Amino acid sequence: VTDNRTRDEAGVEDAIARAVAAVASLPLDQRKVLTVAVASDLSYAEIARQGGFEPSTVLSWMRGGLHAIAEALTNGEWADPGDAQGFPG
Amino acid sequence: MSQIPDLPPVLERLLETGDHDLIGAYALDALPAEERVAFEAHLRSCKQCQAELQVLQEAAGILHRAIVPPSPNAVSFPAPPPPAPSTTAGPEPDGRPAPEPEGEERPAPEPVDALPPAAEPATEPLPATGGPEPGAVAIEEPGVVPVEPLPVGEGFDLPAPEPELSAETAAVVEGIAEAPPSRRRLRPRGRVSPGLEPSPEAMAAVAPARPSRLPWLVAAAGALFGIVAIVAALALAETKDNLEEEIAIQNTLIDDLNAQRDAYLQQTTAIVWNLAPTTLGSPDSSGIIFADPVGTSVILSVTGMPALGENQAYQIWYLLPDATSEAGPQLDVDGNGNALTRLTADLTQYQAIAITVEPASGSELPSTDPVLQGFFTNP
Repeated sequence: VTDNRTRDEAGVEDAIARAVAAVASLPLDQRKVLTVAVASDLSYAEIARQGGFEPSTVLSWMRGGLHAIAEALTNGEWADPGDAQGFPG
Repeated sequence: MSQIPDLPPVLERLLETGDHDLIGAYALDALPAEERVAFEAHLRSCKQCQAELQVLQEAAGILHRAIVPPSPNAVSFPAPPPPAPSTTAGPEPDGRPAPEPEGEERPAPEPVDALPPAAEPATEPLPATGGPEPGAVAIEEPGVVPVEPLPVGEGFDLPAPEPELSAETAAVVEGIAEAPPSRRRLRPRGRVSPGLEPSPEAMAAVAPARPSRLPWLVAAAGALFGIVAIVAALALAETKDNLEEEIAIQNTLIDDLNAQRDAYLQQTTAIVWNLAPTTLGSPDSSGIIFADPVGTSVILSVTGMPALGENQAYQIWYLLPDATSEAGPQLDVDGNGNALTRLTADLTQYQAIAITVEPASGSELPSTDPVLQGFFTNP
């Protein structure tokens, strides 16, 4: 499923630009959560406590945000990232 | 799930709730150690999570690159392998997957059947970091340490997370995501870069980072700035006091000068001399001279002057103490017998002023007696 184009070193910058655009399109709180998760060593529970969110909400935002980025990287080859809750278990 | 006696509580919760949202936090390396181990156990038996994890790890890696770009001076850490064993490398003697070769892409997870049992103790390979750090897990085999469980970040020479969230963290929570994703690097990460090949520079920098002197320099600069600011504040305060004192002195001087001026004006109001008609003049005529205290502006005003003949004019004369006279200007009397003229002569040298009727062509000396006259006396 992985798009090899994003793994091409020449396409990394393009992938980063797509990821940034995808993150920018997310709601502010979700953007906060994703950014803090990457830029710090905080666990999702700590992020939830600091941000005043429910831990389950933070988990959902992380998963959905990553799917949004993944979709942006593959030009929509994957499922709708907003449908993260619909992933089967 | 309670029928499984050794199942960790977090795994029980995971399995009971079916909360697969943990996969996002796992891909972002944001799961606490206990939950991470539990989720990895779940991951071994969930094909869908394995496939999804590969997608999310790629996205997390790009996101990490977007927020924390690789730097020649930055310490980078290879991502630990997923719980699934590699198809190209055989399992380690303890049953764990072999370390992922550096610079190669992470292989896709194997089917569940190929995964080791969840109950087995988890071990993860560690990159060579130049020697164990205090508190690090003892190495039993070269390059391999047991992890029971391996907390996030430990064994990778990562700085230990603060037990309490610092102001920096709070600032991160409040500020980082407000703007477009920053390229500020807060802390080295490991798992959030899966799927990306670590650069040779970053791999070379895996050795323990030398303590930076930058914080000390920043602290010293801050202290110096504080001292300078205090000195400047004191100097400004002193300058302000001096200026206020100077202003008070100047205000006192101004008040004194105003008082002197008022007193002078009280004592030296305009000087006034009166001119009275002589026996030759009209009894209704009169004159008055106004002079300012310094005598630079002198005005003569006459009223009740009789009309003169066509070839006649009123002439002003200044009388000296020796009874001689000097000619002044002629008066242009209007039809009502009034005239107003400015005198430019220095009156202080004269004894009196007089007005005579002279020919319109003017006279060098008075040809008639005055009709109006006045004496300058000391005010």
